[in-house]
Amino acid sequence: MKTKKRTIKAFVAVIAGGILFQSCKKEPNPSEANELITSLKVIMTDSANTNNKLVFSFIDLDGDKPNLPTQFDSIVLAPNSTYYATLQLLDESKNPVDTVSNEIIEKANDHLFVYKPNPASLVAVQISDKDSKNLPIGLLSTWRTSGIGKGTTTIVLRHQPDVKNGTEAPGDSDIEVVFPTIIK
Amino acid sequence: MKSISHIQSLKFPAIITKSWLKLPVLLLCLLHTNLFSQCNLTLSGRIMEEHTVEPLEYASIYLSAKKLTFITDSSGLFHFDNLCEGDYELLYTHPGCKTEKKIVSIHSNTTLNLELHHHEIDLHEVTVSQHKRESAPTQQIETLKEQALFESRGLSFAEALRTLSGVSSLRTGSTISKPVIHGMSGNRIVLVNNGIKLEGQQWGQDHAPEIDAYLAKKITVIKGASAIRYGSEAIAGVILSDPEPLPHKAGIGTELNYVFGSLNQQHDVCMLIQGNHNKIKSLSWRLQGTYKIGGNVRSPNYYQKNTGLREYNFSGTIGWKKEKYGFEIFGSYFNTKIGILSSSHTGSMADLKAAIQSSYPREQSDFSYDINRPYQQVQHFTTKANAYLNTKKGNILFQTSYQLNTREEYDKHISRNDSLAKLNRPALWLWIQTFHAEVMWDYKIKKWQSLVGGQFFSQTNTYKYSYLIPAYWNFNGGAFAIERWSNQKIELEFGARIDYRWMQAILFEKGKKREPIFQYAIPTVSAGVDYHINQKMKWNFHSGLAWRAPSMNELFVGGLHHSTATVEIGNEKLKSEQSLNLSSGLNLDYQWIQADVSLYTHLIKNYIYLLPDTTPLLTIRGYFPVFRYTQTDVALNGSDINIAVFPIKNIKLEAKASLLWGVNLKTHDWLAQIPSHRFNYSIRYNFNPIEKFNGMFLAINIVQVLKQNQLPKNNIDFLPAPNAYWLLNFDAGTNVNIKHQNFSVGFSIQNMLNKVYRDYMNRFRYFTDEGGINIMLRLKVPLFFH
Repeated sequence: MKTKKRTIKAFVAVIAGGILFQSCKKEPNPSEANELITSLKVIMTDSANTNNKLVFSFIDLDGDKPNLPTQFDSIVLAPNSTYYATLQLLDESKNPVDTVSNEIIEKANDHLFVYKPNPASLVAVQISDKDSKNLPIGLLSTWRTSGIGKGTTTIVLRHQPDVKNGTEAPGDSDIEVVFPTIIK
Repeated sequence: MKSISHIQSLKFPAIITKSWLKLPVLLLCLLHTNLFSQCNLTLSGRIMEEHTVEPLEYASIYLSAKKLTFITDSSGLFHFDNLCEGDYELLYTHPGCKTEKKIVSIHSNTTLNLELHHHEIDLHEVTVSQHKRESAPTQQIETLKEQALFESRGLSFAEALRTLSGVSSLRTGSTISKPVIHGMSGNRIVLVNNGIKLEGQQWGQDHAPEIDAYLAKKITVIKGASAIRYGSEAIAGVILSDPEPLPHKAGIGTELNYVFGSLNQQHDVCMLIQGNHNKIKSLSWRLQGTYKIGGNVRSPNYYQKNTGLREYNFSGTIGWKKEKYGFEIFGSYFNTKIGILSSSHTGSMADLKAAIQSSYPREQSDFSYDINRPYQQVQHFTTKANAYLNTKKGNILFQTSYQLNTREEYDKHISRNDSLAKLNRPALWLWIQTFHAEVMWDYKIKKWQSLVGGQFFSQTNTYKYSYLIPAYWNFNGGAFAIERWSNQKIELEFGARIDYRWMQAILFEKGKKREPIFQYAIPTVSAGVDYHINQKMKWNFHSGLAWRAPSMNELFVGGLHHSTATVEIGNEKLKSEQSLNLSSGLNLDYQWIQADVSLYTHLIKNYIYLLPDTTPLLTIRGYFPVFRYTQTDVALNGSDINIAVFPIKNIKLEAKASLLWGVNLKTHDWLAQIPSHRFNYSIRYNFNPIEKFNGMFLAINIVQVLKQNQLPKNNIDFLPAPNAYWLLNFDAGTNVNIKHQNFSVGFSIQNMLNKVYRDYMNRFRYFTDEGGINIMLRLKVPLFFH
C-alpha cells in the first residue's frame, strides 16, 4: 500500500512538473514574419500633362493567406494618349513599410515584369528600363492607348534567379495581377 | 496476423531412410549410435526465445550425426525422423544468437524444447507483456520483424510497411512518405516509437514520421480502433516500432548494418553497440547511431532535381533490471534534411499548369548529392524514463517522456533583401514540445487479465516567420481499462477509455489577439473475440467505437501550398469525429496453406476532410483553388487478404490483396484521396546448399496497383488519376555462419523493368515520374564478445 501511495505521489508530482514546464510562454512574434509583397501600385504620368498623375493599386495585406484584397482598382486611361508608368511594390504588413521595388532594382538581373493587355490592341506597353545584361526589367514602362475599349492588363513579376533570358518562361511568378482596364 | 512463413526441411543425403542396408555409410556417420537398435525414432520439439518464450522463426537446427539441417517456421517447431537409439549432437542457432550445442540421448520418440538467448531479448518484461497484450490475437495486427524487416532495410519507415496488406503510403516525391492504414493517415494513426507516442507535426501531408527505422527490431501495425491504450486519436490504427530489448548476458555485442541503393546512390550505415556488465548483472546499456546520405532520385528518363536526403540519428539507453523492479532511461536525437523537387515549386496557377503540361520536370539536372532550396529540415529530440515494479498484486509500470520537434521549411527563394538573405531563414519554422506521463497496472484474477492505466500529456506549439497553423496549448488526461478472458477455445477482450482535452489557440487577427478555448470529452470503447475452430483454424471479430477531436490544423490552418498551388483553410466549427469500426477475419495455419482473410468497415460520422471550394482565393499571385475543412459521413470498407501456399518443399507462393472502397454517405459518391486496390504476388525458393549458409532464398515479387476509378463526380484535380501499373521485384539473401557469428547478406532489384509510372497517392504525381530501377545491397554484421 505504501508503494502504491508513493507511486501516486510521484505521478502527481511529475504531471505538476510537466504543467509548470509547459507554462513558460512561447508565443509567435508577428514582427518576425518573412517579407511579403502586399501591394502593387501602378503610378501613371500623362505625357501631355505631367501634373496629371494616376495611381492604380492592388493591396492584399495578408499575402497568400485567406483574407481578400482590401483594394483592387481598375486601370482607367484616356484614348490616344501616352503614359509613363512606374511600378511600386510594398510590404505594408511591416512597420515601417518596406519598399520591395528597391530590392527588385538591386536584384534586377533576377527579375522581369511582363505586361499582357487583352485584347492586345487595348494598350501598347513598352518596357523602358534595362538590367546590367541589357535585358528588360519592367519597373518603368510607356503605355500608349489608341481607341476606346474595355479589357484587362495582366502584370506578372517573374522571379528568375540565374535563368533570366528576357522571356517570360523561366522561373516562377511572384506577382500575377489582372487589372480590369478601361480606355474612355 | 502473424507473418506467414514456411517450413523448409533440408535433408542432404537421403541415405538415412533405409539405414539397415547402408551400414558402411552409417558407420561413418553415426558414431554415437547403436546400430542394432531400432531406427524409426523421431526427435521433435520447439525452439524458443529463452525470455519471451516466443517461438523463433528461421532458427536453424543441425543434427551433426546425420548432417541434417532444419529451419523453423513461425511456430518454431522442428522435426527429425528415422533416428536410431543413441546420443546425438544438436547445434542450433538463430540470427542474432550464439550457436548452442546440446547432446541428446534418444531411446524413444523424443520431444524437447530448446531455448536460445537472443541479445535482443527484452529485459523489460513488463513492456514486453504490455506489447504482447496489444499484439494479442484479438486485434487485427501485422508485424514486420527479423528477416522481413531486414529485407526492408534502406526504405523509409513508411515504405517498409507497404509490404503489409491494408497498409499503403501517402508520398510527396520519392523521399517523403507517411503510412496510410485502410485509407487513413496523419492524425488518425498513432505512431508509438519505443513506447512513446510520437508527437511532431504529424498532420502535414508532407511530414514524414521522425522515426529511425534502424532502431526498430519489430514493427507492429494494429489495424482498426481497438488499440485503446495508446490514445484517443487512433481511429485508423496504431503502429508500434520497438527496438531490440537491452541485453542481459554479460559481454559486449555490436551490430553493423550497411545498405546501398542505386536509385539515389543512397548509403545507410547503422552501428549499434550494447552490453551487460560482467559484475553488475542488472546493468545493461546500448548506443546506436545511423547515418544516411542520398542524392537525386533517378526516374527512368531523368534525374529528379534536388531530391537528395541526409539523416543522422543517435540514441542511448541504460537499464537496471531486477526481478522485482527495474528502470530504463532512453534518449534519442533524430535529424533529417530532405530536398524537395525544384520543379514542384510554383508561384501561380499559370506556373502549375505549365509544370503539369510539361512531360519532363521543368528543371533538369544530373546526379548530385547537393540539397538546395526548397528543402525541409526536421529535428526530433526524445527522452524517456520508465520503471516497473512487480508485486504479488500485479505489475506497475510508470513512464514519463519529453519530446521536442522542430520543423523548418525552406522555400525555393531566398529573401531579396540582402541582410535577410544572410540570415537564411526558413519560410516556416514550427516548434512543438510534448510532455507525457503514464502509469499502468497489470494484474490477473482467475481467468481475467486486466490492464488499467492513466495518461497525461501537455503540449505547446509555436511558429515563426509565417502563419500556417496557430500557436497553441493542448492538455489531455485519459484513463483506460482493458479486460481479457480466455479459455482453450475462446479469447475475449473488452476495453474502455475516456479522455478529456483542453486546447487553446493563440491567433493574431488584423493586429488583434484572440485566444479561443476548445474542450472535448473523448470516449473510446472496444471489444473483440477470437474463436479457435480447431488448432489450425481461427475466426475473429473486433469492434471499436471511437471519437477523435479535431486537431489544431483542421480548425485553423490557413495558407498556400506551393507544390500544389492550393490554399487550405481550417474550420473553427468542426465537431469530433465518431468512428465505428467492425472487422472479422479467418485465419488458417496448415502445413500447406496459411491464410489471413479479413473484412472491415469504418463508419465515420463527421469525418473531417478537405472539400474543394467553388470560389477561388484572389491573391497578388492570382487566383488559387481553395480547399476548406468540412465534415461528412463516410464508410471505408475493405478487405485485407494474405494467402500463402507451399505446393512443394522449399517453395512458397504468396498472394496479398488490399481492397478498399471509400464512400461519402451524404452525397452517395466516392471519396477522393483514397488508395486504389493493390495486389502483391510472390514466389520464394528457400534452400541451404552449404553448411555455412542458412536461410538462403530467391524470390520474385510482382506489385500491381490498379487505377483509382472511384472518384467523386465533380472531383477537382489538376490531372486524372494515373494509370494502373505493375512492378517486378527480385530479392535474394542468405545468412552466413562464420565462427558462430551469423552474418546476413541481401540483394534486391526493385522495379527491375525500369518502368515509367506514377501513383495516385503521390502528391508530386503532377510533376514527375516515380523512381526507376533500384539495385540494393544489404549487409548485417553482428559480433559478440564475452
